[in-house]
Amino acid sequence: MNKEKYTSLEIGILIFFLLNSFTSTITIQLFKNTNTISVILTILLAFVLGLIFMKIIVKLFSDDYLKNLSNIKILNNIIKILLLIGSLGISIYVLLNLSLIIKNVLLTNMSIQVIQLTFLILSTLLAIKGIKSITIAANIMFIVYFIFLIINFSFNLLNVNPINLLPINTSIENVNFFQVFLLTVAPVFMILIIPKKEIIDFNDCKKKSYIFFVLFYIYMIIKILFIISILGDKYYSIVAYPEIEVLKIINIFNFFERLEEILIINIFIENLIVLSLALNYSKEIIKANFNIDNKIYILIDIIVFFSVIKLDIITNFYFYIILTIFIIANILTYKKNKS
Amino acid sequence: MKKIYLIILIIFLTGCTNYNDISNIAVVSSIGISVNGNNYNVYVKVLSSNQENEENIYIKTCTTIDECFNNLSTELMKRLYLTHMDLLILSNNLVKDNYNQIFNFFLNEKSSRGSFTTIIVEHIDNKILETNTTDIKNMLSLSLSTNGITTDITLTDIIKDILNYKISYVPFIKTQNTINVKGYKTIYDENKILTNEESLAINIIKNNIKTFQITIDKNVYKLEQCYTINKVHNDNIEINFYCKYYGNNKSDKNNIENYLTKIITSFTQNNKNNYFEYLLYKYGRNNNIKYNVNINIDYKPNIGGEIFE
Repeated sequence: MNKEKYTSLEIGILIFFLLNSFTSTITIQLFKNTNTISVILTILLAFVLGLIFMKIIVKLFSDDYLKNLSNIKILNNIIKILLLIGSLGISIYVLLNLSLIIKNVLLTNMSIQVIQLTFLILSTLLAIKGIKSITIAANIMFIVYFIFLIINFSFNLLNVNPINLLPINTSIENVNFFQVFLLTVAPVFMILIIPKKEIIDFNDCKKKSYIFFVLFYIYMIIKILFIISILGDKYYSIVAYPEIEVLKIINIFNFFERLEEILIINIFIENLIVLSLALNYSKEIIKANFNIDNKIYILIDIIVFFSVIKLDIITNFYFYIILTIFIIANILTYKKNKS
Repeated sequence: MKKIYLIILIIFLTGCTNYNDISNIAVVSSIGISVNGNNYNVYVKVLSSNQENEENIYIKTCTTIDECFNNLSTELMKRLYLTHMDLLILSNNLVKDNYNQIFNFFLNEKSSRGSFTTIIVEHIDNKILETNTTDIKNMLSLSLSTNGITTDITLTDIIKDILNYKISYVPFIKTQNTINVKGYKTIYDENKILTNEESLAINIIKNNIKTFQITIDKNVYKLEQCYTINKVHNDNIEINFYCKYYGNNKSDKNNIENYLTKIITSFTQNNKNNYFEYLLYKYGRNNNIKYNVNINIDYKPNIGGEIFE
């Protein structure tokens, strides 16, 4: 394991990226055919549920997270398999969603497998370097992410029409808070791979984790309502990628336009970080049992790549089950710690 | 192992996998669509790679829009590329079903961006197709700043309006001897060419106008720094329009206020399928709507010098 130390801010930023794993791809689709009050209610309920699980995540931090999952040997192996399924599931879905966005928006004529391989290899190269390198990359990319985020918001301010958020007093419909909770909180369990002793100030880290958790949910609620206020709820429901549609209509003085091809980099950043983390997590689980080196990444990449190719037959429903299994497997390690 | 990964990555990043020669792409600059019986006439203006002939216009007739584009693509042996398209010209004779098909085509076409100017013309002819798109855009923005009758509207705006209010106001242009902007035309639930006064009323209601001039009894008044605030109280709609008028005669203020009140009131009475009706429909109230129009012109005496003969 890497002997480098981690600051609380680094952990906080990593938690932000993990919470943000599926926001632009799957979560944003859950707010279609709904209304303002339902959006707010969904995010609030997911926030409350997520806060409970964040407390669990903070308590689950330990020095030997993967080495000794349970005292019973059979349970230990079962948990490991479940964690592996979870992390591979997350990497497969992140890669699939990222490649679909690029295929549908930017490179319409390119073969999707080439896009998938490019991003898979790029993420593997980052994952080989270890969790500390991913953390440093995430920290550097967070600055770029934040700058582009401000550009996105400021360039689109003139397109905001608050009338699209009205009427407020309507019936509550399509409150998919459990899905939103799963898609945001489940990937955060991957942060447990960082040993507790390598975090410089754990109490401060706890505080920063909660701060970034709250900041992320505020960011999500603003982002969704901002997009609805620009596109209107009906148009939001019919377009495939509302976030990119918002970037397409940017036009400042007839000079700054067609910026979506640059501003889309934010989606690349958030997906690349999570994909590298998920690949690294899968490797660490296998490494805990077998004494192997980085060559195992070839096997992981082959599994992920061939699963993505065959994925058109699997619906999102199975993904929610994988995420639930991943959370349960992680919670099972908590019992062991307590005993 | 890292080296093997890097070598594979370099192969993919060269761009050879997505290589597309420019001569195999037909870059579309504008499209015109009209209907003749059950058939669509699609006019496509394609940028030419040949320097002598800058733009070529192709006309196709078929039963669906997709078929027209497929036929044209086969004929040219090039892929039609709509990302750089900046004008969509629709003919006056389109109806609701035609619009549905047009919107579906542009929403499903991956290379289309939806941020191009859309206009309606009486007949699609060579004159309008050969006109530079920048000139048409300038005409539209000029008509807003002079008469306040039309504004530049994109296809995305139209689709959003239709999804929300089932009606959209699209600039209408006549091309008999010269190209003239004639105001708005309502499309989708209602097909009607609006008068200049009605078009001005729409721009006031939708807060599109900042500076414009109106002619009352052959006198021209220039209004500046205009904005509109609309308020909805139960079934009452309050339209508040504010403007500054720099002039020499204070009595002009009343003339302007009366004129603008008259045109907005007459628009709301004569056009029941207007923007507000659908806005209130969204709230679940659609009966006995009362309009309250307040025009507030702030008179500022002209402090410039007088010209003596």
